[in-house]
Amino acid sequence: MGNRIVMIEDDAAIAQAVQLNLECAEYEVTVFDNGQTAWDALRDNHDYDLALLDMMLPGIDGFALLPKLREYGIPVICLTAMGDPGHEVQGLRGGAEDYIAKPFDMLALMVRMEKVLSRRGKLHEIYHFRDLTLDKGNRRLTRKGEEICLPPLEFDVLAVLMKNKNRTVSRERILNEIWGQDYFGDIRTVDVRVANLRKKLNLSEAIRTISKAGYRLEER
Amino acid sequence: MRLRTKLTALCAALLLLVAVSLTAAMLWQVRAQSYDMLLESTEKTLAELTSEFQQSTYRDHPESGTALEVFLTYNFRSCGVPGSALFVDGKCLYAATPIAPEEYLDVSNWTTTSARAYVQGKHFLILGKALDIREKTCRIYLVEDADHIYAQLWQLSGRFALLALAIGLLGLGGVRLIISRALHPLSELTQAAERIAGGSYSQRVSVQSSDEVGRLAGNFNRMAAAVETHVDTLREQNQRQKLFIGAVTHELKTPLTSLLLNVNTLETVYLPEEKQEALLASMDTQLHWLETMVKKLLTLLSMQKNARLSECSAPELLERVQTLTGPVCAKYGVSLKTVCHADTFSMDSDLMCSALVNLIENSAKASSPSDVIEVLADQKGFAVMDHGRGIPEKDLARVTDPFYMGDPSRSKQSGGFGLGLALVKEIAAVHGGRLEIESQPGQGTTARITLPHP
Repeated sequence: MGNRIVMIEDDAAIAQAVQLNLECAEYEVTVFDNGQTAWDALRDNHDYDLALLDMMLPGIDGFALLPKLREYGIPVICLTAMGDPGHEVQGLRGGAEDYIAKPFDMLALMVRMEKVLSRRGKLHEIYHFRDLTLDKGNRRLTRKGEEICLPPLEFDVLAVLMKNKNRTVSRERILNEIWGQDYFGDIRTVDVRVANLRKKLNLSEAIRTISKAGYRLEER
Repeated sequence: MRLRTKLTALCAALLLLVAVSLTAAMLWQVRAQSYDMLLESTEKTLAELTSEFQQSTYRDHPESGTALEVFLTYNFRSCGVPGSALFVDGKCLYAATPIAPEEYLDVSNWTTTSARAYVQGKHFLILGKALDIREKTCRIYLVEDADHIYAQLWQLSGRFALLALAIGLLGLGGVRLIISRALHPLSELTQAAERIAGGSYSQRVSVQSSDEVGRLAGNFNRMAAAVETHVDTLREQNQRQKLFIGAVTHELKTPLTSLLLNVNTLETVYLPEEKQEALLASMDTQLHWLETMVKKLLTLLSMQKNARLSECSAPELLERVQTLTGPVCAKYGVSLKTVCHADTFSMDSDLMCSALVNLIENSAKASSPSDVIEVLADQKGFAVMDHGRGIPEKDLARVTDPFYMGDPSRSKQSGGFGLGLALVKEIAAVHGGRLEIESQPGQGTTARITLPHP
């Protein structure tokens, strides 16, 4: 089961797009389009790992919701069109973990969400693909309960692909996720690992090569 | 040079001139008087000398020749007057004078004459008189030393100079004080001007005098007030523009964010076909939204340029408005009643139509089903009246701000941008009129576009 995310955003189009992306990455997303309804709903159920909060909301605005979310122990990332430093400081002082100004990049948002979740020790790093289950924390890969042993690099590449299921990831991004930003290795190492994974796990169709973009693990 | 210094120098020069000329006049007077006194006493001496000499000659005397001359000389000398001289028939018989008097004074008649002489750094007063003694013409001279007059004058002039200096210094001090006091308001003005130049526009001067400086101060205060008003207006305009740009940016960011997200998603995420289509449809909606908003903004910004005013018929306009608002009224279940008491207006009928449609749409949204919205045209302009929920007082002042929405959730649901009333206000302004909104919460709203009288 993925992390539970509550999103409070009044713009339906943005909420829909973010929800779609997050659900692809195995997050469970609940959306509220009004500060007041969110306030009421959270009173009954506040079992969420993270909140994405728009600051300009009808009903109760984001700045008023912030302390409430803190009280419930839900870390908050603010999403807002008010991208000026004053509002950012106000948001962060109010207890937000992070602050993203609109328009934002989905990938950047997801990276920040992971950072916040891992800081809180709430990041569920267990990914599923068909009958495969990958537990990144314990470095275990199982197929129908049976453990499969993989070399460390292949395990890491698979973890990145499974985490970004249905999403195209570039070779550079895979390398960056494994070794961090400063690695300038040969990106062909990725191709070798992917070829091995396709062979060993019988994923030759599932891992698609997207030309000029990278790889994508597709779940049909 | 500072004005105070200049004026002081000028006054000092004037004072000096007056003192010098006064002193000179005084000294001249004193000299003339001293000479007069000297002349008087000398004349007296001369008269005494003459009478004594004449009496002495009545006694026995030689008939003529050298003996007579010796006789006369002896008698004259025995009179014993210093500085006297005796000439008989042009011949000098006796001279106890420091100078030769006949060179300076020509005694031709029988009265006393006088002259002044200045010889080798000494001043003399010379008196002369002629008289006949024994058919002989005697001329008697008396030379008096006048140096003491000049010594006195010098002494006096020294005193005068000291006095003038003292008076001058005192006067200078006084003048300086007076000028300082007179110019004090100027320095206050200067300081105020400097502070205003430094940005403190609320600065005023407090000068009460009714002279030119007072008038200048009054004008200065008026100027400062005008500058302050202008600066405030500019500042306010700037602030409004900033807020407007901020609002535009904010309003553009939301659709842009979702578009960017959707493009991003379509690009990288593997999605089933129906979800892809749903995303594309939503992007289409957002793009249309953006387009409409940009169009409205452009209308708002370029209205001044594009408005074409001409005489247009008011009844025709109302008819057009009624047709155009038909669907909206049907949607909200309200009916429209038009009353026309006006003939024509100088206006851009397209813009005015759009303004009225905007107002009616707002009214329709605020009304309950089966309400009546009245549109009135009279000499003052147009008015749209509804009996809907009204506008809360706190929002009333801001409803015409671009992107202002009293209740954001409701307005977004009803598909507004918050630009409608801003547009109407701008349209009214383009016609030289104003938009006035009166509202009672719960009772209804009257929006009036007043147009100037032709």
